Amino acid sequence: MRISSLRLSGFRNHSERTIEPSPGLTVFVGPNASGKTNALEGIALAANGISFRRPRWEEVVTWGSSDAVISLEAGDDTTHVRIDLHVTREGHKELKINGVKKRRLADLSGLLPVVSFIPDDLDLVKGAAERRRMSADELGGQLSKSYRAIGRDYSRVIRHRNMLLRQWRPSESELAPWTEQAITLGAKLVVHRRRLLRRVIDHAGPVYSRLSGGETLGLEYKDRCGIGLTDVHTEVSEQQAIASLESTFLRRREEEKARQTTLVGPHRDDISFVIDGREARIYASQGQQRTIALAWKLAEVNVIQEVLNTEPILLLDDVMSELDAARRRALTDLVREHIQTFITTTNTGYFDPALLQDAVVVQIGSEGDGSPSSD
Amino acid sequence: MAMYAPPIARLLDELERLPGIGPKSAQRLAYYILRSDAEVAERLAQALVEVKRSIHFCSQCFNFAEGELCEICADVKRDPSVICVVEEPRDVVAIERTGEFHGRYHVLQGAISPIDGIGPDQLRMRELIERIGTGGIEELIVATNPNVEGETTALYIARLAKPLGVRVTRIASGLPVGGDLEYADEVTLGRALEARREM
Ligand SMILES: [Zn+2]
Repeated sequence: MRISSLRLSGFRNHSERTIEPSPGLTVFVGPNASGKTNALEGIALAANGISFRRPRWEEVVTWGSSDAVISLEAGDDTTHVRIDLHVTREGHKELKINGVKKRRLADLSGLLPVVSFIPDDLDLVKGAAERRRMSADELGGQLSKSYRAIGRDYSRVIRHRNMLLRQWRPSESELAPWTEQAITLGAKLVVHRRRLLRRVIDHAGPVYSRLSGGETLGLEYKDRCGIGLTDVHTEVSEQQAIASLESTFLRRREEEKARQTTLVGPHRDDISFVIDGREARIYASQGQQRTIALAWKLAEVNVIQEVLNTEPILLLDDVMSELDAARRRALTDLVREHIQTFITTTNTGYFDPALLQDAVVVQIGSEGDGSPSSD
Repeated sequence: MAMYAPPIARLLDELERLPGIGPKSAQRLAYYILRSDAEVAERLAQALVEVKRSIHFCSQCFNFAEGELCEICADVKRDPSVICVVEEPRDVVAIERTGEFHGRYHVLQGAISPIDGIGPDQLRMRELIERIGTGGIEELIVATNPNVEGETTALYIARLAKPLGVRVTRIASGLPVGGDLEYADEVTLGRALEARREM
């Protein structure tokens, strides 16, 4: 699928703007804080219902505007889709797909998958475990509605359960139904996540080897569910995960009450990378860490192609300046492989002139844009 | 802090107590009322007072009622041995629309939701257990919403009621996931009642 038209209205600093992107490369050029990342975010929100910035909804509405509208049209040889996302100042949102109102943003799953790569993603290896879990779960949510629903419901159960432990001094009968839900949903989540990570590492491994000149990349899944199988190639059944979670919850019951938080479950699992048998978090150079982050993103593209049988849309926010020429090349090669790509940059000098020749270059924040320039 | 004349401050204060109304919405409502004719405010005030005076909760099922008992609890043709447990009065309306259910109801007036400060004690849970205690109830059909809070509430009820010798069933999934009962159409909801499962 490719986006043929994007309209932003009352969205962040874009009071009214229509962009007709290239089926190949579209470059948003402008100084810092000009709103070029906002344009990228608009695409992510309409395509996926989530953006890499994870804003509160009311934040995306232009100051002084009553609501924000993002509309995009996309298609390929056989299908055409129109997405309209409408957000009010109160943060209420209304989604229409081909003019039909949808009750949930989850209905976007699988329709117009995106892979976004922003400077924060370069912390994938050494950053907090949450970043790695989220990278996996957001990809999973794009691949399947049920992955997305399980992830959403599970986090809600954990929020409730933590609140109960912290503020309510709950009786066993009050805690039990929440524990039961944390077990059923947590088991589903950990099984789905492991299967997804298996696909990701099977693609990221070879990509990493190629980019690094022969080093091997591995992945270990370190769960807090009591399963204890770090190799994601080992299949864990839902029943097995349920049994592990049940006994682990039981074992850590007193500790949970003392620490007043949920200690067991996939919301505390970690994913770690291994280069030639050594833990990347500790030993990887900055260059190796960036290559892992890049290999992960390229693997996301492959996994989407494999599972959904469609090309994702690639959103690159200012990462070109952070990568060296060879790694930049690995990304821009995707444009040649017919992946529609949107890039923000302060400077088109990072790009191969041959690539820019066919690109649509959109100036943002200076000439050609009447909107005020503040993010 | 903004300074309002005391009557306006008081109105804002009352509006902000309402569910789903934050300071901004309260302000907008208050300005609307201030700008409107006196008649608009009087009609609103009367409607509020009237609804509180004439409508209250059924003493048995906690649905809205005009008398001591609601129409359904007062109807001798309804089967008293099967109770459908729902979150809100609007869910009673949704299930009545299916025409498939001939028992009686119990309206919890919410679902367990610690984030919102709602535990079993804030619901009509004790009254449900008391109702079971009076005897004659064979089955509870738990028709709380198919979301995290509704599911937890159902599990809580099952754990409480089953030891009392009552059959506890849950309406079938197949309802829109994470949705509310009121959005389900009659056919889907009727089927969900039909295909209920043991808890
Ligand atoms: Zn009644």
